Amino acid sequence: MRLSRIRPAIIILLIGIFAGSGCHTDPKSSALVTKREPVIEPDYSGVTIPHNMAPMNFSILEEGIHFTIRCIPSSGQAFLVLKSRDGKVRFPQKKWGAMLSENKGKSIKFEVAAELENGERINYDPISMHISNESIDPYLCYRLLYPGYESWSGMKIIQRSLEDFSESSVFENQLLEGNCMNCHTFLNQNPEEFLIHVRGSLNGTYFVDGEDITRRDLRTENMIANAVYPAWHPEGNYVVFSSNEVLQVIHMLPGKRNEFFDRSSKLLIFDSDRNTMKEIGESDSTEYMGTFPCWSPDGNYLYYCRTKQFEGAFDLTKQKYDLARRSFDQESGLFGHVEIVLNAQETGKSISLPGISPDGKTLVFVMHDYGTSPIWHKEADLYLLDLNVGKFDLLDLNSTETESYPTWSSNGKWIAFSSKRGDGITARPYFAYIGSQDKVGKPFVLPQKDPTLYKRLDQTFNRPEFVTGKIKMGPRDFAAAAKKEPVPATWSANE
Amino acid sequence: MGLRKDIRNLYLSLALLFFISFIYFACFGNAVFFYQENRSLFIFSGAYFREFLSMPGGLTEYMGNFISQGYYSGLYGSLVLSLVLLLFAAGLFRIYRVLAGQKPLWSILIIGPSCLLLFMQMRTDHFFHHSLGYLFLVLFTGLSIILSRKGRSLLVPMLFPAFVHLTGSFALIFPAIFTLYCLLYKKGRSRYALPGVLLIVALLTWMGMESILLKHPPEQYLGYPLPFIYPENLHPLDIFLCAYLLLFPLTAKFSRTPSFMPSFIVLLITVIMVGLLHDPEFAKRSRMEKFFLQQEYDKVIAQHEKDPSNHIIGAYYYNLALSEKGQLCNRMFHGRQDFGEKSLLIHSSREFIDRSMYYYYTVGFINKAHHLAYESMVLNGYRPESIKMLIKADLINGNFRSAERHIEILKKTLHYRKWAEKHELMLHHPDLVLSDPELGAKIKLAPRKDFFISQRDVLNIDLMLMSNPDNKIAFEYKLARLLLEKEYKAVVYQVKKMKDMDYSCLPRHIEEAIVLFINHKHELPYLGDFGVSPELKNSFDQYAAAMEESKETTDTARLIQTSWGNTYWYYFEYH
Repeated sequence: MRLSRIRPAIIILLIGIFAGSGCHTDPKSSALVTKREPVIEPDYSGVTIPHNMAPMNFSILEEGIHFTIRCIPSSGQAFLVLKSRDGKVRFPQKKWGAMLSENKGKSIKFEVAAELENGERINYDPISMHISNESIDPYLCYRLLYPGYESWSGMKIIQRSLEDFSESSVFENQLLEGNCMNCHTFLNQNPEEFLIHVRGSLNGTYFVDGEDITRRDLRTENMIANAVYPAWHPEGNYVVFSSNEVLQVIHMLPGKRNEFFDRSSKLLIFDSDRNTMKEIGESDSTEYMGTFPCWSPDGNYLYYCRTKQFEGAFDLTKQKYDLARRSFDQESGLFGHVEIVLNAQETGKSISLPGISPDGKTLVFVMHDYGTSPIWHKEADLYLLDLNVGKFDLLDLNSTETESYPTWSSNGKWIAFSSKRGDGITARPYFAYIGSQDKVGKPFVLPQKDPTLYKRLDQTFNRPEFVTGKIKMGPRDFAAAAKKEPVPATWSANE
Repeated sequence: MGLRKDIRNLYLSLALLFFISFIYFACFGNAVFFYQENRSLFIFSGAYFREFLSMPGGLTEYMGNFISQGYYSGLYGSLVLSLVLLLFAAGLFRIYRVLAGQKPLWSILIIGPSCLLLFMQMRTDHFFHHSLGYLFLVLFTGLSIILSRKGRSLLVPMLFPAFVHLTGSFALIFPAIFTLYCLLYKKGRSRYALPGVLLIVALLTWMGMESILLKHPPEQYLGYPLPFIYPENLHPLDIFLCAYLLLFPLTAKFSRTPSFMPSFIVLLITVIMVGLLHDPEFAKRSRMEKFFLQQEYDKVIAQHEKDPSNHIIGAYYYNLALSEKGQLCNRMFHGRQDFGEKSLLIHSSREFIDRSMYYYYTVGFINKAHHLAYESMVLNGYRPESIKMLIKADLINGNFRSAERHIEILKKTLHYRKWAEKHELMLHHPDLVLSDPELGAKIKLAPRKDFFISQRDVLNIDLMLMSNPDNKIAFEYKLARLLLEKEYKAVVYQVKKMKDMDYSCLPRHIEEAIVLFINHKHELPYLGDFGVSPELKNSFDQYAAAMEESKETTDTARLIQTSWGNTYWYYFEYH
């Protein structure tokens, strides 16, 4: 009896509190309406997504024992209504696909209502997602590993469909005696032509060409280290690598962690027709270290990062890389003179990981305070450079944590990049719509079937690369290729 | 109607074996529980279960980890390990009865293998899932024999793939046991046909696994949980037990007049073997390690001073415990320092990575402690202490989101949930971290300016002291190293810095170094406001006199050890 008397008073009090804090009662449904969106994870509110994107599953981080999610396209009619007890919202694949394809170029609102334990209902402001007319490449390929310091254990290269949640291993190091592997790079994002580098006992660069895998030993005695950071010439007959003698140190100040830097590094070009490696020498009298090569889409320019070669003791915090380029004559295979595209002295920061849009007009790159390991720099951010004007801008999509490894989709409308904004340690693959230098969509993390996956996964998603189709090669194919003797490349003297 | 004499003998023998095992593990051998409990972390989650589900044998390990998560209680561990011995014997006894019927039982055939299992369980590398694997093998053998006796022989090959998935490489032995059984006890066509069918199923099972389990190379799933396909990697006791189980169907052909004597002798030999196999030094240092991890530093100190460990790890934990209590230079020679400066820091190889991180944590190299804990996680998987270290380091460094992930893991464990919940309260509350007695103290030790840690520990300490001159722990480690290296002059030249570090008086061993310095007629440098007490000078005079005398009598040498064994002078002279 007493409870029944008290309950209305509590309800009135609660309503009063809610009303005072920006809530009011919806006269139609008698539910409490908040003047804010629900907190969801991942944060997909206000994002622009491609019309062929996998379901954007999320978790509702609001109080409630029961949630109702109504997906309302611009027509105003609810297309899909979902219910969730644990706050996890998982959209059915087929209906999601249909909803997106019917709403290209429009926005979809997601109305969330929460039912509390005391029977009350809270309606939140709707979350909105804009569906772009532009599609995204169907696959993303990345390396999955622990963001460790020196050691590694299980390491995989995964291909993940961006249109649904299917994923499969392309490469697993457990089948190759646990060796470390890296640098998966595609020729024009073609799933049938790519390469992977393996270190250790089964070392080599594994070139995939259709149904064949050739294990090559690109390291000759003239090289200071293995060939890494490959950049495949658009015509497919050359691959530029850098050969880096890397040192690792560990910071002791809280907030900083790991640091890799090059003691020396040189750019090398592999001619696949002749099976030769050659140094891309610089005529400059000053010696430079070159790294992070990248081709212009027409194949006429090689962009890369460079800094002066140091000798003896030096201050790492002063090591800043310029963005440079050299013209390339595809007939002769010769490079022109060095042009500085962006001077580190002007930017005050170090440039790394450049990538040029498919139309050749825009270059996305990373800038950080110093050195050549952006993935360990919290301040590492993405920038866009207009190659025609030479003007560069900080992208709106950056966070207070590391952004790195930007890459363009084949239509140049999306970029994928790694961001550590989740926890500061593990990188996750993010996407953003790039309409123009000034029109950049809010980034969103690769959706997962279980939206809580990123919270519990210790592994990091390294080097995301768009692929235009499904890769047919699998771990067993690489294991079989590893049993063959590597084909050694020969050294070609410089011009 | 009483029990048959042979059965009674068996029960009596098993009861004695249970008693022997329980008493041993509860009173002497519980270091194995501490060791193993610290090497796995059972997590109540679907993801953790799926990790084991995909690998043949994984379920056995999963069950083993589930049971051994309670190893933090020595009594529980002793009970569980002793019960396994009984179950193992019960399984063998059942098989024997099925095969031999009412023939008199020679009980050593049944208790012998359990005794072997007991010896195996004393080893740190024999985990509970290994015992479970053997137990499942015996139980499946018994089930198969019963099924084949009841005319349901074909169920055996049908169930075999599931058995492979359950036990992994333990299933490799089964076709051989079953084949021997069929050859000895079956008649007619099934004598050869049944083993033939089983072998075909076995081959198909393993071939099928190779194609399904793409991520596991064959040698991995054929060699897990125990590397039966590589006998050179197996412990002799494993080989012996496997050989015995393989030939077990033969045992029913034996028949002896029942007598308790043979079993009694086996049990006596078992007691002797247990005594011989027991490693008291391992037990001692494990106890110290356990005290250290429980942050019972006084107990670590007391243990090493009363009953010192002869292992470097014992001395290492002693020095760490003294540091945590701020007593390193005041007390370090009260315990044995047989390993000199090496026991201040043990190297960070894979074997010691879980231990070396504590040095860095104690001294305030929090990033390095995080580094090593992370390396341990990558190399060894989740272990409770490395996850705890990651959480503490992340809380200290303000990496709350990273700490949160690992706290969530510990919250899904039985033993570490409370610890995780306590630290969960600190997430996103730097003020709570700072006010925590342990974490707050470490924040004060942390570097204030950045530097890169080097391979040289001496340099690291100097860099730390340049970065944070108030880090007394680092300073005392520097002095301790100099003391252990007998560089007493260098120690004395450091004394002047101590005034600025809020020392109200000199640590005992530093004072002793100064006395030694004076005695060697060196010109005393500026010591700030510090001096040496007259009592200590007097004590040194007596020590010096006793030293002179000891050249003539051994009794005096003993007296020196008793009276001055805990001084730097003694270490300086006799080490």
